[in-house]
Amino acid sequence: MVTRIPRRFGDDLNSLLALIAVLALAYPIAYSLSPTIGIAFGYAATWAIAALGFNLLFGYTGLLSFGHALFLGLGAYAAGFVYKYTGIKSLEVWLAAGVAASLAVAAVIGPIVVRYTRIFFAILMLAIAQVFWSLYYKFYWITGGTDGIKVPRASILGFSLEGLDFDTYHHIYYYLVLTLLAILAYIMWRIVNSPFGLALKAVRDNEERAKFIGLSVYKMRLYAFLISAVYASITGTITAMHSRLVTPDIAYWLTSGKLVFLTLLGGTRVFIGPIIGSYAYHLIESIAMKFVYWQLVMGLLIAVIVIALPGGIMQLLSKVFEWLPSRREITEKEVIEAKIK
Amino acid sequence: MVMEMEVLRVIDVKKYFGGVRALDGVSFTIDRGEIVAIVGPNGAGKTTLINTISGYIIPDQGQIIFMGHDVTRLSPIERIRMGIARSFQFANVFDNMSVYENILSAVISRKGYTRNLLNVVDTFEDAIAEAEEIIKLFGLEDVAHFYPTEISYGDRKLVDVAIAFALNPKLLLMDEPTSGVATKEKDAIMQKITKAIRGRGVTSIIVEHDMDIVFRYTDRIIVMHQGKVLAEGKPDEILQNDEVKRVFMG
Repeated sequence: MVTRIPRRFGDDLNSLLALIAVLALAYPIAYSLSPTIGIAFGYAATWAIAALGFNLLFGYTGLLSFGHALFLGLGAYAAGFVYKYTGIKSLEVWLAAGVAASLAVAAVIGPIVVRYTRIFFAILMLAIAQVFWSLYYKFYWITGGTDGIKVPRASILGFSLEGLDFDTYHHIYYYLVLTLLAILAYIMWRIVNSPFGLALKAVRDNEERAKFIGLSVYKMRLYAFLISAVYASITGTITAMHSRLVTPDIAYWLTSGKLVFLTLLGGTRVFIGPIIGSYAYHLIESIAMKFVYWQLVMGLLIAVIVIALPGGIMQLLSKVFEWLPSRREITEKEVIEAKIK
Repeated sequence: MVMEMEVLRVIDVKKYFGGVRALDGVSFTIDRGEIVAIVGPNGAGKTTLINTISGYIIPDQGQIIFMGHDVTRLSPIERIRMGIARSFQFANVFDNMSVYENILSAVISRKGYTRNLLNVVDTFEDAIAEAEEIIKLFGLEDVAHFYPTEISYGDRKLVDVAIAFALNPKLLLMDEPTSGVATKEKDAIMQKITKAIRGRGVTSIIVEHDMDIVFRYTDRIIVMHQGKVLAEGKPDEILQNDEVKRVFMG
């Protein structure tokens, strides 16, 4: 009987649960230190959802999309259109509309784009996202153009977020999004650890071999693409509600770049990497913004992290974890056992 | 009765690459449970033949009949589902997955579990038990949790064959399972492979250069030269064949 190897730090469910707990407990401290940092936590949790979906496609399937802003845009504009044309303020309805819109678009473009890989897939996604961006930009009588669509604070399960004071709103918003992140992260954890997830890794690693074990590479990629689109649209819808305005910016290529960047920052080969990346990115951004040349400071900081840690922040955290005394004992014991064997 | 015994029939298969006649009217049959070696000098068309049978390439002409069905134009996936699996000349494995995951992925693919998105793979006990059994059968227990890049090339080659074996094939195609492996290791690898395939009665085709391996581990030999079948028969018959001697020894 072969003993199954335990999932490494960052890939196991305990790591995810511990991380969510830390993020929940750290928020009041962060907010009390500076509301700016507290607000950054809110953005980080929101973007972590899209980053998890993005990483299913990139880290687990091997498809790098430079156009995921497409789905954030669809999520955001779905919320905007639902409010503009029906007056409905329910976040659940907005989310459902966003998911439906992104699934519909992903189901149309997915069968075409997933036939391509590497730079061809990346550029194709970028091009399609830019087409949608230009539609939002040019069809101003529908989309409001650069002025966008104003949306109110939505209601959640009948509870309205409208009229809350600044602090209360941000506290509720953070824990609401963190709860959503926890649920979606758990679903994603099950997906990447399912037989489907294993098949995705096989496709990523060796497309030819994957075909010769009977996997439909095309279908695997398409399903990952659809799931990834859903996660991105959820971030788009929540961002629309949070910023109370939907503009073409959310569908612009810079949004796609940010998603790629924060995922890489956290680490693509460890499950919690994108969550860590999102928090790191937004915290660095909130601190760097205090400087006049904050974009320069941020760029340099992030460049240093990427150069020093090609595996993202999780590379560093994994090393730290391995050097924890309790973990070291296990490792040494395992080495001795292996030698005896 | 004869048809029931016959697993593979290759009929006048031709494959040209430009002016090169890689396969030039190849015909032969393979019966159930046989281990057949395909030998020949470089460029004889051995790998092209394996590629044609596995669906990697489609022949220009001819037919491939597997278990009574014409599979000539079927895709690799369709052939795998019918029971044709293969390993490759250069160990073709999943480098960022452990040996255990490599084999498990083949088992779950065969069982159709990849449609399952929300149940953790650890809960598929039948697939896990099967993967563990194959790991044991191929003597890969010690390296089960290593990545293929961390193990010897011989073990990598074994993993490649074990992946194909995990698909529970009726016909297993192995393209040079011992190429690039130290001479000392070759026997150990072939012993493990033949023990596994004979244990389950898997009909197999082995492309091999090492004639010692061929004579020791296979039931029948097909000698190819310049895209044609030069000779076929039992190892003893091949050893006595003048035409084979002329081609191999000049």
